[in-house]
Amino acid sequence: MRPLPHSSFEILLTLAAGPAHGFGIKRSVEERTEGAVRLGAGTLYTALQRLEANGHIAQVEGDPAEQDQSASVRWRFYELTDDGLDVLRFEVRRLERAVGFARNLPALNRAPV
Amino acid sequence: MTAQSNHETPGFVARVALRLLPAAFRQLHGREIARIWRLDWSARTGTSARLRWLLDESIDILRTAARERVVSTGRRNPSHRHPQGDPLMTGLTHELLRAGRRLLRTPGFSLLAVGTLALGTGASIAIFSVVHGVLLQPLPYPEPDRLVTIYHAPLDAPMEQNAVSFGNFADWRNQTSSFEAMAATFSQSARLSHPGDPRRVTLTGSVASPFDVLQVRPLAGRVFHSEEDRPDAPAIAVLSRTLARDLFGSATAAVDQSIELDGVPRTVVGVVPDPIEAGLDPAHIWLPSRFSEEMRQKRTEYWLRVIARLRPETSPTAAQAELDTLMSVLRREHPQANENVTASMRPMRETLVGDVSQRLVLLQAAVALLLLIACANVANLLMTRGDQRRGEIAVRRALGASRRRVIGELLLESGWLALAGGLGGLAIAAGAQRILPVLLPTDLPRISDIELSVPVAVFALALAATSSLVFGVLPALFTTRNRRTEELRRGRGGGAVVGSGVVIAEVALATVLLIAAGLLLRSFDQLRSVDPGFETSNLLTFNLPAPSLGSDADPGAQRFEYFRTATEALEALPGVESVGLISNLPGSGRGTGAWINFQDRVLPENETPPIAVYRVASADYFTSAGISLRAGRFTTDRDGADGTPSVLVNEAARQQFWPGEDPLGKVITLGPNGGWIPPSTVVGVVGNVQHRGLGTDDLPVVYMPHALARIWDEMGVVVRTSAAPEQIIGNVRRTVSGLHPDAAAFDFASAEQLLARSVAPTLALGRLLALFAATALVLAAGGIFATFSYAVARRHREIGIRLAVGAAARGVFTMVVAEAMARIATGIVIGLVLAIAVARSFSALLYDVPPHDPLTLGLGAIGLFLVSLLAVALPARRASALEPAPILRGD
Repeated sequence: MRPLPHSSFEILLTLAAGPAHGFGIKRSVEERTEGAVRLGAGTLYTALQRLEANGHIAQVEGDPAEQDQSASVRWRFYELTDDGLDVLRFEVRRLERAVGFARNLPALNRAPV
Repeated sequence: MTAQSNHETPGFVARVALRLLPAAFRQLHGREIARIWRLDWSARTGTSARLRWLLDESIDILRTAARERVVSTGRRNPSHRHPQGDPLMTGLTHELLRAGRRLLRTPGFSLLAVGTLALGTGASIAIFSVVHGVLLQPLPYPEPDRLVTIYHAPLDAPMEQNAVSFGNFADWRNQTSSFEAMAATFSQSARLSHPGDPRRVTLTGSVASPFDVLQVRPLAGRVFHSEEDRPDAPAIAVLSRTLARDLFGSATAAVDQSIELDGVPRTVVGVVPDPIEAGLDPAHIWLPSRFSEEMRQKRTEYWLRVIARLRPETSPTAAQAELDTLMSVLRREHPQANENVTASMRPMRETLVGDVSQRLVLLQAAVALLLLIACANVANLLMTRGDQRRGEIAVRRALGASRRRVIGELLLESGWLALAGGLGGLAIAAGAQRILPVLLPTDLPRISDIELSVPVAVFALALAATSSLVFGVLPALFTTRNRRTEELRRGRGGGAVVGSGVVIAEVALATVLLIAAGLLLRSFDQLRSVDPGFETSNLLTFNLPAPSLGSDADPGAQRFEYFRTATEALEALPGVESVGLISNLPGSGRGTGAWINFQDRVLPENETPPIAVYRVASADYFTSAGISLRAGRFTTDRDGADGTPSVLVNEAARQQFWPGEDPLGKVITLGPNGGWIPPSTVVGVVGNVQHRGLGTDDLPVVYMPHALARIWDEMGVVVRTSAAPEQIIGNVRRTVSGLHPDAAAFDFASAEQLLARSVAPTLALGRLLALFAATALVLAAGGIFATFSYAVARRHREIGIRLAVGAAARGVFTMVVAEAMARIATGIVIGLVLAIAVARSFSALLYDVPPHDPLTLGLGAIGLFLVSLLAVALPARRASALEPAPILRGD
């Protein structure tokens, strides 16, 4: 299986913690990576659309408490499907193998001067 | 969240941005995206954070839009309605191609429109590059706004720029705190004898270092600094890039090489870019002048041009004030030398380009006019075409095509025209770049700085785009206003009214250009026929420096002897009638001034003597050059050797210094305290010579005999020949080098060429304007032809009826022509009025030609009238040749 595009990976990772809406996913990713990964709005929704089409995520009814009652935008909530969970696990394992390999490389183990 | 988050709909900007996305994607996700944008925006504070976010999100949305719209197989995406790709993108390509094909179906119109646009924008870009390169671009030095020039000026005329004395410069440099660096320069020419053949180069001598002020980066080696300007410092030089290449092949190869200038060996320490001032050759040398302490203190030698760099924290006003205070002190301390003198500081850029800015502005205005005419033409063409297609468009509207679609199509066509016209314009401009240096006035500074820059190209394309899109839209708006099918049969159009208005405007503008060009060319003509004061035919001129003749107790006698021998040798050549020597050739504009003191007058306290120009002339100079003697006699070689020295003065001097008196027999001296020449008697008055070139004022001149001023080390030579002057140049060269191995005559020119140089700028300007005027004429004629062709075609029915009821064909012809010419005459009259107003604004450039010169105005008006008549006659003939029957039948 090909490696996941990074935007898909970040979204799936976020949703593994529980359902969320678009804005919530975006914020979550930014916070988790401390600003290193910023998903643009367009990229975000393209990825969401693709993940949904591939069956990795699905729209669900969100927690009403999460909706901003004063706004007219009803956020659509997404959750990880079983398929999506599998894909995520696979990807994490792939990354683990890569990190494990990297840890054993002498070049990466030399102490910084 | 702030109150902003209560807005229901996305803001305007967000909506526009969302339009980039394909419709389906937008409908699904648009609202959420807009909301995210709003939340992100309000969560960020600070301009830089917001700008960064703006940049990131813009790129993101553009990428997304592109990705979502482009065809991508292998994507299973339910939001795309058309598997082959997004309708907007593919539709756009098809629409573009269709619009292009439509234009190609009417090649005449399309070529005309594109050609007109290309011509107009091409000329604009070419001239604008010149204006940009010379006037607008900052000087090529770091922080150029802090660079200033400081000149002497009379207290009551601070705009003058006079050379500065050594002593004053030293005080300005040492006793002010406003300047980070200051240096003084003077221009000379010198003989470069090694390496290579002897040649003449222009040279900048400096006190302190101009490089410290300008902060020029050397291309190779180094520049010299102020400390190296000491009498005991080594003899060094800095070369310009052109000279380094000429002599040594490259800039780097020149460093540490040795050259010989005027007999003095010097080491090249570095190479810098070519000088940008007008009048300096690209092959140029800079030297520290290494004057003695005594020379640096002189207050009565005025040679220097002072440049300086302001300190960052000092304002120009503060600096000027400091100089003013210092000058009042200096005026007190050295009353004679600094009488009525003040320091005038100006930004360096102004000094460099000040003279030419008026001419450049005129050029720019002329080309803007040409562009307007071109745009008017294109507008006319587009409107005419729009009118022609009225019927077709009405049919399509009736069949259900949306107004937007039709306007869109017309806009696409205009877009193509704009693109082709703009690109054509760039091509024309690039070609013009090559030939412009030939056409441009030769005294423009920074010619090497002119290039087709990005701002210029952007300007051009924007221009082409705006003009064609605007004029593409107008007919689109007119023609799609009504859906009613009656339009199909109606023949009138709003375009007609605008069409003739545009023609009047075109004619008026073309008139202005024509008149402006005419006035300048007449100026040039007047200048050429000015009496220069000497006989210019068959007169060869050149410069002859005395070679270094070895040290001797009396260099004056040596040099005088050298010049005498040279003169004799030249006179002996075949084809030479006579030879004369003069310290500065007429028409060259070079010379020196001195105070003139009159022995029979007492100068009141605190008053400075008047200034006269002085020249050194051999006894035969006046007869060789053909300068007339007005009174008294010429000097002879014997004057000065014994007895009271004699001098000559010119008419201007007589009128200025001895009004109503006879100057013959009066005794004068020159210089402060009369120290430069011993008391000399005026023995003759000669005619005025246009020294600074044709059309300049006559200055008072005192001619000293050569015998009196033997120390002169370079003389201009005039040779009266019996045949064409150019023919004896070879002989002259050989004779001069035969006399002395180090001698070299240079800068050969016939007297006519010398004078032509002075009027070259006016000629160049006139030529360029004439080029524009001719182009404008052609464009206007084309526009008139097109408009009236169409007007006639539209009045088919009316004309047919007239012919049917018996009007003679000739009557119809006359009617059409008369109506057309009435409009054109209006245009010409308006144009004449405008032309006079415009000519007034550049009247400083005209010589002896008033802005309302009847000859030019008359010729211009008649010319335009005739050309327009021709352009109208053709469609008119066609009108009168119409067959009435088919028209009446309604075909």
